[in-house]
Parts: sequence; C-alpha cells; structure tokens
Amino acid sequence: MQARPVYGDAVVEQRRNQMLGAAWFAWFVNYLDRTKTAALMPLIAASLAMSNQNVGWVNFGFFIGYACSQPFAGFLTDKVGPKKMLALSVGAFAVFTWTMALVGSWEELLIRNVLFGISQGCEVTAGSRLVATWFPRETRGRAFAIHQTAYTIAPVLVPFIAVPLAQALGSWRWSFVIISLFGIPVLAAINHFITDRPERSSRVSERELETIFGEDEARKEGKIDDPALATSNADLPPGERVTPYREIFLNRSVLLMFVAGFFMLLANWGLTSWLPLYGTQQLKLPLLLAGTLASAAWGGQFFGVLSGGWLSDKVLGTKRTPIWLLGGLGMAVAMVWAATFTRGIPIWEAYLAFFVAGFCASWSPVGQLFAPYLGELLTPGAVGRSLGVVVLGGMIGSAVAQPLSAALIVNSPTGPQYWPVFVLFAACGVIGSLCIIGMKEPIVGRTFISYLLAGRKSEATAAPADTGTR
Amino acid sequence: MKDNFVGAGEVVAITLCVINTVIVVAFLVNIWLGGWLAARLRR
Repeated sequence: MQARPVYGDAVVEQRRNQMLGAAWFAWFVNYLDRTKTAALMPLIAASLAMSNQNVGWVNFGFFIGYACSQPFAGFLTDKVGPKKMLALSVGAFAVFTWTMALVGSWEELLIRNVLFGISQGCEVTAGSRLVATWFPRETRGRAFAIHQTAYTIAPVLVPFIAVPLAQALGSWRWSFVIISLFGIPVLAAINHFITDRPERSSRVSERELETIFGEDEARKEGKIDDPALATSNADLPPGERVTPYREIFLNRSVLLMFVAGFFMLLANWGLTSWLPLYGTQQLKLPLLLAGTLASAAWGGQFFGVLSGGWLSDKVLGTKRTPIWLLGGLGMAVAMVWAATFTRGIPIWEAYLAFFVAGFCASWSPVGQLFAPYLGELLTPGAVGRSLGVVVLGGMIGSAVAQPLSAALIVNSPTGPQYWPVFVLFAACGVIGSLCIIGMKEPIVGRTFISYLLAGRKSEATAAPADTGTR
Repeated sequence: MKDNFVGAGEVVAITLCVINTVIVVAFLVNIWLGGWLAARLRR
C-alpha cells in the first residue's frame, strides 16, 4: 500500500478541490473558445463575404459536430478514463482553433467548425465524470454547480477578450491564434492536478479518501474499472457498484432525461442566440443595449447554477429532480411574460424577465446537477456513457433551435415579432418538466411526485446507487 | 475593419501556431502515456 500524505482540512488543501479547479479552468476555456466565434462573427462574415445563411450553416455545423461526438466521447471517457479524454479534447480544440484562423472561404470555416465541435464535445462527459467520482454525495451538487459556473462566466467575458484583440491587432484571425494558446495552461493544470480516481492519486490523504468514500468503502481495492463488466461490487474500485449496459441504456430516467434535455436546451440556446437580434428588431434597442439582454440571461444562469446546487444539497437532502421540475415551469412563466413585450417596454422589465428565464434555464437536466444525478442513479463509472446519451439529446435540440426560431418569427408592418418563438420556448419548459416528473429520484428510489404523494416515504427496496458514499 | 493578416504578421502567427501544437502534442503524449515524457525529461 502506498504512503499517503497528511494535510489539514483547509479547502484549498483538499485534492478534490484542486482537481475541481483544473476541471473548471478547462470548461471555462472550452466556453471561451466556442463563444468567441459568435462574438467575432460580424468581422468574420465581412472578411469571408458570408451571407446570413452561410453564418447559419457554420453555427449549425458546430452543434452537429458536438452532438455527433457525444456517444463516442461518453463511451471513451468510461473506457480510457476522464483525464485522457479531457486532455485530448483540450488539445484538439486548441489546435482546431488556430486552423480556423487560416481559412479562406466560408465552406472551409464550416468544415473546421464541425471538427472544432467534435473536439469540444469530448469534454463535458470527462469533466462530469470526474466530479461524480471525486466528491461525496452530500457535496456533489455544490461541487458540480461550481464547475458549471464556468459556462456562465465565459460568454459574458468573451466580448471583452476576443473583440479587443481583433481590433488591436487588425484581424479577427489574431483572436483565434491567441485564444488557441490558452490550451497550454489548461493542459498543464490537467497534467498536474487531475487523476482519474481519488484512490489512485498519491497526493490524496487517507483522511480525504474517507471523506469521499466513507471509511469502509475507501479500503476497497477492486481491480475491474468498468461497472458494466464486473460481477460483484467487491471487484470494483471504491464508490462504484455493478451497473450492466441494459441498466444504463434501457433506463427510463436516462431516456426521459434525453427528451427533457432536447426541449430544455432547445429553449436555452434558442433564447441566448436570438436575444440580441430580438432586442434590435422588435424592441428597437441600440445594438449594445440589445446585446446586454443576453448578458442578463447569462447572469441569471450564473446565479441559477449556484443556487440550484446549494438548494439540492442543503435544503432538499441531495434530491436533484425537484430543481429541474421547477426550472422548466419557471422558464415557461418567464417566456410567456416575454411574449407580451412590445416596443417601448421599460428596459428593467426586459432585463428581469430574461434574468429569470436564464436562471430557470440553468435549472435543467443539461444545465446542472446532471453529473451528481447520473452518478447516483447508476454509478460514477457509468456517467460518461449515460451522459453521452443525454447531451446528444440536448445538442440536437440546440441545433434545431436555430432554424426553428427563425421560421417562427412573424413579419408584421411594425417589424419582426418574436412572440411565437417565446411561446415555443415556454412549451419546451413545460414538456421538459413533464418528462422530469417521470424520472426516478435516486435517494428515495421513486419519482419525486410519488415520494410526496406517499407522505415522503422512500421506496423500501431502494438503496442509494453510490454505495460508497456516506 | 480591414482583415490585416498578411506578410510578417502571418509568419509570426504561424510560428506561434507551430510552437503551440508542439507543446500540446508533448502534453498529450505525457498524459496518455501516464507521465512517461515527464519521467524521461527528469532522468
């Protein structure tokens, strides 16, 4: 048995928190990299003489590449380990970013954006599995909430990084070249701070291992890594339980999560992509002010992920589905409210509605808590494969959102009207919530609604999925 | 804005991209081979 270090209880000393910091950094740079293309699109379109239709195809290419990579990325994450997949994703998108700086036509940009989407798509399953494996059940929701703040902060910061670089250096291509360099510190952080499993890191103390897995489970020395191949829990590493393939892929909750992910990410990406155009076309706001409507939605998402993780862990006793249930319904209310807006509405009212919409959009099965949920419903070792299915649904929804929203905009004598688009997003929120009603809540072994109807009684036969955590 | 990415600027950019790629590949080799590269360099 290897000698383990001894350290105190300080937050920064805990290896799992250092691992989380490195995974957060990787996720932040991933989002910085993907959203820079949208921020620079006016310059790119002018430089490559692109029409609006060409721009639509380039955006669509990213989402399709991202969606297609999910099943493979999830499978490989579980097979070769999250550290290698995380590094491969960051390395690949760092290289594809600079190749995009050298394109000469929109067709070239489209092909490279598809490849860029594939490379970026390999990250979410790896980062999620790391959090599910490294954190005990009681703090998993909050840990993953911190991880997910990266996707809310990067889009807010990107206009202040990508656009000034392009303006100062005289070409949008310089922004791509310089942002591609951000992959190097991320790879250094992955190399130093990340290990696939806590018990395999020589830098994790005995005390921290017991905090993560519990005293008995921390001593387990299973040699089979894949929970789908093991025959008993004793064969598996700490925190894992036997989970055959049929339990992963023929699972009602995973399939409902796939459908909910489709509708809720359709509404989320549809909203944030179209808000600036809505602001200028329907509310007749100046360009800068219209752009800040999207910032209000992203700001809402920031507070949404943090509050959702905290509420799930501390108030709901690690139940995850009630947060998503409320998120879908809240999204529907905010969207119906936004559908009533006309030109001349007070700007604070628009900000408030889109802040609430963003807040509720983050309370979705593809916004937050999905890593803890799948780790608890199945086992942390199956998070990659199951999440690959769920994110596939979400990304198809994101891709569909773009042309569908465009087709629903009504042209009136006073200009384009977006109310049918908002009604669509409201319907997506309601459908998402209906799917979530049918999903099992791991800690009580039944759906949350049936748990409430049964007088808050857990299913007698149900045991928490992650047997290793306390 | 003019797309000013020609001449010496382009040479500098491509040089940066090549250096970036070499470092990225070195990290990937090291991570995928379980620290093999780092161990060789320390030797």
